[in-house]
Amino acid sequence: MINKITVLSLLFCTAKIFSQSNNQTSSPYSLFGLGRLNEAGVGKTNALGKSGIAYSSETELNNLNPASYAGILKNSFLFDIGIKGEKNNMATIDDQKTTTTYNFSNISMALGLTDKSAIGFSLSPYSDVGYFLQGVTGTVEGNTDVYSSDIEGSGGLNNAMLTYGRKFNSKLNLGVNASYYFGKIEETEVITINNDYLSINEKSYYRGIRFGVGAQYKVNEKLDVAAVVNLPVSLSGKQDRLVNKIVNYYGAQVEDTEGRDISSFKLPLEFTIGAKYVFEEVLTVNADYKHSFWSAANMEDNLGSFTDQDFIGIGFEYFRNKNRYSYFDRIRYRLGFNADNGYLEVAGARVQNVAVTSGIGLPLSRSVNSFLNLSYSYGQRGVITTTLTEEKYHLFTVNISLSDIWFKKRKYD
Amino acid sequence: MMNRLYPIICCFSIFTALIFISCNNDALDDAYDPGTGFTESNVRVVAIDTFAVTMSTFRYDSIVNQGQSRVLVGRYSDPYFGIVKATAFADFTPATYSLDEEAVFDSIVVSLKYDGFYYNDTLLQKTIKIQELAKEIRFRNNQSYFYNTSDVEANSAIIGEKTFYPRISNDSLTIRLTDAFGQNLFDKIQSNIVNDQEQFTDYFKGLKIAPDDTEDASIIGFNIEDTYIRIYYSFPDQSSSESEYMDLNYRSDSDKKFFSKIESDRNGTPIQNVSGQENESSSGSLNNLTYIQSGIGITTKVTFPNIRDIRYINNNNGSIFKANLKVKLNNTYYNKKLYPGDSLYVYVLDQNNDILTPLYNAGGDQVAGYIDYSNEEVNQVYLYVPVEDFLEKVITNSTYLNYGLAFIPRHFNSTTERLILNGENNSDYKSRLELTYIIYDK
Repeated sequence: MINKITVLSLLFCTAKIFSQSNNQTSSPYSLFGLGRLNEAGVGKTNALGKSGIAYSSETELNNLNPASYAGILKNSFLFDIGIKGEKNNMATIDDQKTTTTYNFSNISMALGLTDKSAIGFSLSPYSDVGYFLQGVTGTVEGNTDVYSSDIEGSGGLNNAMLTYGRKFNSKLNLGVNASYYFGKIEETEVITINNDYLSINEKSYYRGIRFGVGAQYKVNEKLDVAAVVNLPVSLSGKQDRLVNKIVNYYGAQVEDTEGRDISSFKLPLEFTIGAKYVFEEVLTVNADYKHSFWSAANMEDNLGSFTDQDFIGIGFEYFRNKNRYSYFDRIRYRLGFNADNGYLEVAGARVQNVAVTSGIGLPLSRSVNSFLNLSYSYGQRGVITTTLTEEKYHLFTVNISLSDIWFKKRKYD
Repeated sequence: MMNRLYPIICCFSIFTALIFISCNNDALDDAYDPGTGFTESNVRVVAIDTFAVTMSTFRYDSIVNQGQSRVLVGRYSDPYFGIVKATAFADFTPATYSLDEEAVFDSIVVSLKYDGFYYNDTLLQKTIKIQELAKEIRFRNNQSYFYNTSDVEANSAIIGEKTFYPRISNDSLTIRLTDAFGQNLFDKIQSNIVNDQEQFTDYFKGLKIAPDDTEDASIIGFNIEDTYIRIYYSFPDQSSSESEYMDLNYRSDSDKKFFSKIESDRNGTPIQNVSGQENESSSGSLNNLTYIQSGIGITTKVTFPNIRDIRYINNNNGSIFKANLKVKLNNTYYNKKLYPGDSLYVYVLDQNNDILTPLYNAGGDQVAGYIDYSNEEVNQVYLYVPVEDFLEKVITNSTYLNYGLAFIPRHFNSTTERLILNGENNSDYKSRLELTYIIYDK
């Protein structure tokens, strides 16, 4: 029991640190909306093209589909904690820059309540904001002067999610989840007009609860199909704003407002379908298709606009046989691919994303399903045009996925 | 089984926590230029120079003549401001009232200490005439200041006179006074007729130091603190002929008795009709010019009658970022002798043109306008006055609607510095309000 308390308190501590962190990314695209959506998920799905809604959570947690929790055995405790490291190379027609960021990707845990149901909790970044754009220029209306602007952003939203999954019958699993999104996005813009300066610091706080439902259906021993619907939500916003200026070498405060209402941010309806097929008990292939109805959210951003996004992800997992004695025979090898056409349209061009993923799952124990999951993805977001930035990224994730049986008297210890 | 995994979780959590603490912030270290058009500023900057400005000239009947330890003496003719004349009045007293009985009066001089101020042509010869005051220097009824219009009656006899070329860089100017005047003072002190200041004032009330009434040269400043009357005396029965002396200084105690009378004859000048604090002369009536003159009390008033229309910009959702009044100084109206200074203080005037307060900026410092001479060679000299703090008040406070701004040179009561400004409709350059408005709440 002491172990459980230790794990829970560690989880809590790390979560606290996690919620204080800033700048979990350094992508200029994180300027838009709530920032860049988190690329890294739980456990093995990072290596499977970020897809796999048809996978069960029996051996490793799968947060892509709440119905997967129905597969968790009674008294089984699963835990997943992960970090990610990302190296971004950004390029425009005339500039190039490389940055590296490290961060948490998630903490998740789940417990099988009965033979049919399981409940889980997870904490993960939902979106990351981190950018520093220099030399943005504007023209003064009324004369021909030009001013320049440096814009810096940080922060992001977190997702605290409760999941419940239940077996409806031997073939059908159903699940629901409730995600509480919360966080702060800070943007500071400093404008230089001749020798005068204006700085605008805005701290925007968003929160809201989103519900999702999922289903998994076992067609036969080899084929599973699944669907997930995430309902739209409006994240209410409050903002603290501090505006200062330096004019004629004198500093003055223009505005200091706390808690002003700002327009809420809408997350769209998302619909995912997926399937998983097992070939010869060694190779599992899965594929997901997701559609996000961003257009219907009817939001506008400074320059970009939100458009419906299509996502496809394909994953392959290979392992020889879990009963083999050789350690190397028990390693799982994973490959994947994903592509989406982006939910941002900047100056008529969409910010598309393509990535290949790979990974291995290293078993940590002979008798239970605990893995050290490593993944590496290489992707490209956007293209070099007059307005767009091309961003090539290397994403590394490290997850520890643990599983254990609780509340069971052991014969041996 | 958890027992074995526990160290792994523990290490991993600590590892992740460490990563967090050292969380890499490349994004902040180095800016990235995303290229034009990737995004744009969240701020709209609007420049407006069409808000109406009204400029006028008025003259205070009198202005306080105090501040610096300076007295002005001189006279010159200014083509735009008329004949300007300054006369100094000062009382001098000795530190003690005793002289050796054996001492014999030699001579008496007044030593005037140059303080560096001059106006108009210092290459021309000047004449200073000194008279003894017939009446004591005193505040008028219920007043606690001397004014530029203050005056004290003097004896007609000239007790000292000097014609000279001013050498401002020199230390001081010494003028010999008549022996009769000196002997008299000497005797009164030596014979103990005078033993204290009150008795002394009965016999000597001070000096009037005036320019010649035909002079057209310059006005010069003297530092009254280092100006003194010196009585030289000697002891004839001693072999040494070394002269001893006694100094009379101005009163440095609270009862300071000195001032400069500054007057001008504006007949025949463009501003001959500018009179009275509440009678403003519009710039239109003064050939689209406005006038400022220290010492005499002439100043320029500016109002912004339509500034409240700013609320029509973007439905009042924005704020004034910067507002500079830009006023041209045409080089037709100034030269090296009749020079403008380089800064002007800004005061808030009520509807009667009484000064309410200096204008302060948000930092609590007094607002000053500055004159930019950087393009002087092409006759592009401008006075810039930051007025956004005043405009904010006009917009938010209805009593300020009737108020205006006055521009006042730094030593308004102890110089004769003067400026001529282009008015708001001057065809050479229409002085205007250059306003920058920002809209950041899109």
